[in-house]
Amino acid sequence: MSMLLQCLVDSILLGGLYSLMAVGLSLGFGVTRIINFAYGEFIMLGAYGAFFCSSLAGIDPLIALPAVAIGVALFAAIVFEFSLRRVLRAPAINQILLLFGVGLVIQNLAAILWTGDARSVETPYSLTAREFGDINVPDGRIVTFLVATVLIAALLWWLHRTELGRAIRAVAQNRDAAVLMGINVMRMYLLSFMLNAALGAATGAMASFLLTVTPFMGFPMLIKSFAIVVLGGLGSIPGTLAGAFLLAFAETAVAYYVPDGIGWAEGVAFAVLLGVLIFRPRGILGQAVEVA
Amino acid sequence: MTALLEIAGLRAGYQESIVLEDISLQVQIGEVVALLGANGAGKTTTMRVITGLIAALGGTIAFDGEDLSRLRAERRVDVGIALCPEGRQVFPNMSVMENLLLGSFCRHARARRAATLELVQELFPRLTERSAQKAGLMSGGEQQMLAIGRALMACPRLLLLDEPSLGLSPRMVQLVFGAVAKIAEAGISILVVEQNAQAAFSVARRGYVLAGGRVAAAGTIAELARSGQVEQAFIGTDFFKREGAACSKSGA
Amino acid sequence: MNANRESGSPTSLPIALLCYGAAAVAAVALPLAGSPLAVNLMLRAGSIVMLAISWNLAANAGLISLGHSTFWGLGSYAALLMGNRFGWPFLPSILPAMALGAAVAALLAVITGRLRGIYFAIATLALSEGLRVIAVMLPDLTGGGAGLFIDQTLRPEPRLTAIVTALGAVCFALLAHLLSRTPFHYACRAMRNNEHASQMLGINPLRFRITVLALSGAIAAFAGGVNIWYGGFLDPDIGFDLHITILAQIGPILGGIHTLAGPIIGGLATLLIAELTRMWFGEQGYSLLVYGAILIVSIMYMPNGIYGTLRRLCAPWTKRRAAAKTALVAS
Repeated sequence: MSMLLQCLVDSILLGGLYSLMAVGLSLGFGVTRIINFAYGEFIMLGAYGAFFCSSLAGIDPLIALPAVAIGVALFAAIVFEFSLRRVLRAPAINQILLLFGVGLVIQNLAAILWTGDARSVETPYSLTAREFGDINVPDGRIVTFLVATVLIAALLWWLHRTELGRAIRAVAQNRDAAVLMGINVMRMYLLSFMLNAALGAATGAMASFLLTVTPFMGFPMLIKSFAIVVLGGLGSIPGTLAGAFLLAFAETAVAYYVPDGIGWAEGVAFAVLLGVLIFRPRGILGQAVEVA
Repeated sequence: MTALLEIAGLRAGYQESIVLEDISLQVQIGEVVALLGANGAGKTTTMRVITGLIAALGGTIAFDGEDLSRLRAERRVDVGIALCPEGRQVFPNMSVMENLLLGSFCRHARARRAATLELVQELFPRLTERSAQKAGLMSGGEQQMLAIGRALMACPRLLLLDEPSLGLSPRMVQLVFGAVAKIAEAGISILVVEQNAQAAFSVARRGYVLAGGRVAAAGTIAELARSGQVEQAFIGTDFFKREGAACSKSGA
Repeated sequence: MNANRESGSPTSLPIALLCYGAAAVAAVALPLAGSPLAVNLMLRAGSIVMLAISWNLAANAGLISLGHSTFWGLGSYAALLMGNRFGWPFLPSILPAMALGAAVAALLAVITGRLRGIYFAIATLALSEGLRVIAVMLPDLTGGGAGLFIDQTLRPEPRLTAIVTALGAVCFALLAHLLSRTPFHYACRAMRNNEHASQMLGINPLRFRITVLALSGAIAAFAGGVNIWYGGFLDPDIGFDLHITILAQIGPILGGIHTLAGPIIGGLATLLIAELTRMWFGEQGYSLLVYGAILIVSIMYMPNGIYGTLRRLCAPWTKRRAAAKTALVAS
């Protein structure tokens, strides 16, 4: 019983971080209709940003998070202006392969500049934990859950209550009609790509004290984001949140209940991804493509 | 008096097919002009070129004496052109209020948002009742009201209406065109594309009949009606289809 | 894109056959005569070209794979296990390897059903990574993360593996060429443009997908199977390496997607570039960096690849020559 409870608590805490990660990918797709295959690399850059802030300047990852997110978003803006913008009218395949290439370049530049060594960030809260009866909850996970929740709430507020947020949703729902409202669609594409990168970087900054930081950490994160987004239905934010918690639960349950579970947990995202693509390609909520 | 909208020798089309061969028309300030013609005559294309969704291949479009060709589509809203597109194109997953607010996204309209919103809600009381409703879940007539209201939120000087009667019940057509008449009374110039010539004639003073991407006839409504050119333009391609549609509608 | 450009000029078959013959002779002669370096180069050239042809076959039918290491890895494991468990020597072990590659590819075609475009790409990516995790988690079969050595007593001479690889590449190139002269080629184009339209042409999309993918999978598995006998050691990271996936797609994109010569030109160019970067920088990380840069540059500035670009550059020249000829006749 306490194992089940522990499993549930763990998966909820993990689900918070997964939500933030996948919402970034989902939002970017909802607006531009392009799946960002370099998304994992934005997460990785965020993690390195937090790592360097902490190791070079002694700044806590959470304090560094806004600056890291903005920095990576600006980098994404450069990527968009110099590459993606020129293939917006090309077939989807070209966009995928281009972003795949961008991801490869970023990943291997990171490996060359910062070596392939695994790094980790130490914070006052990354090694402590608190006990609730039999249940053990690491402080680091509580912190990430809270920060992720706040960031998602802020994002939803921004999307629904501000002029620009509405404009972004308008582009996602009907591009031509958005133009007729006087919305500059290209600018919204750029903005959504930057937001996508910023959310990825924020995820990475928090992953920096939960996981080890390496140049190759982005790829599994990308696959997990795919699994979540496909599970929830491409472009749907409520679906994405549901998908994030489902994946987190599935992974945690496998880790707890299956022999050798920790190794198999790594494969859950792939199994989920294949399973959903085969049986319910529109996602569990069965929604059409939409944002929020 | 200079024309508010002046189109001369306009040519436009899609990748390999030219839809508009040679279109010239004018809309004076405060005037309601009808654009008539069969399916495929180029009415919707004309509207899309005026708003900049499609680039013109030749000819000129001047708005208030200024050349529009260098202005990107989203900037044409700023100078005062708003299109209520064919098929309404509301934002389906947003509330009615959000749709209206998006209508006044451009800067000059945003400054006058509260006052415009009041006027639009007065014109279409239904939109006030449904303010929180998801636009995609409303009836076709309500969506049409929303689409017109949304276009009005941009405080346009020229309102382009593309087939506002499409798919609406006769009662709803009456309601929508009643509102169009009120908009015209408020001094907003209107260019309206219609298949339903009778509805268009109820508000317009002048009209153009398009056929094969050219202006086949032009004149006051009375002249057009008398000359029989409206019927001529419709017969063959569209007349029977409309009859069929009317039958199936009354049957339903 | 017209049919001519994709299938090559229809009159060129005898010349093409001559070229394939010459390539086959070279495939046998070079490793026999050459140094271990030549053997190694031949093996890699053959592998890259096979991967490129295999990827391009699927891409021709609109199926963009981002997980070609799936078939390579399965081929490697099948060949290795046939050798270690049942004592099968090199050449026979390639057959079950190809069969497994084809079977899994066919299964993928069936289960992904009507998924196309990005969904298919994501599914293939997930499959290759999923198989890697499975290979790690089943140490009794695969040796797990520690990996397995192939039975040393069975290992063939390196130059034999190089000859088989290079000959395989020539054969599969010829196969792709011959296929392009059959209605298969038109079916491919119909599939990639519009599956509904292809149904109207009387093509059964599912059976067609299965055939195309199985062929593609078998070719990649062949390459993987031969490579394990040359390398001798296999672990999940080698078998289901993202590097292989990238190599498979980069050849056709650099050379010219949906063409016959493109994947071959692109594959060889990739090998050349990889060798040059290794000479200059001497590090593995740079090659992936360079591959990424090639992808970006090709897609942005050369969407028709080297082959398409060359054709475009040559077009005015051939036209001018034709014009000069007519001028001569006229005078």
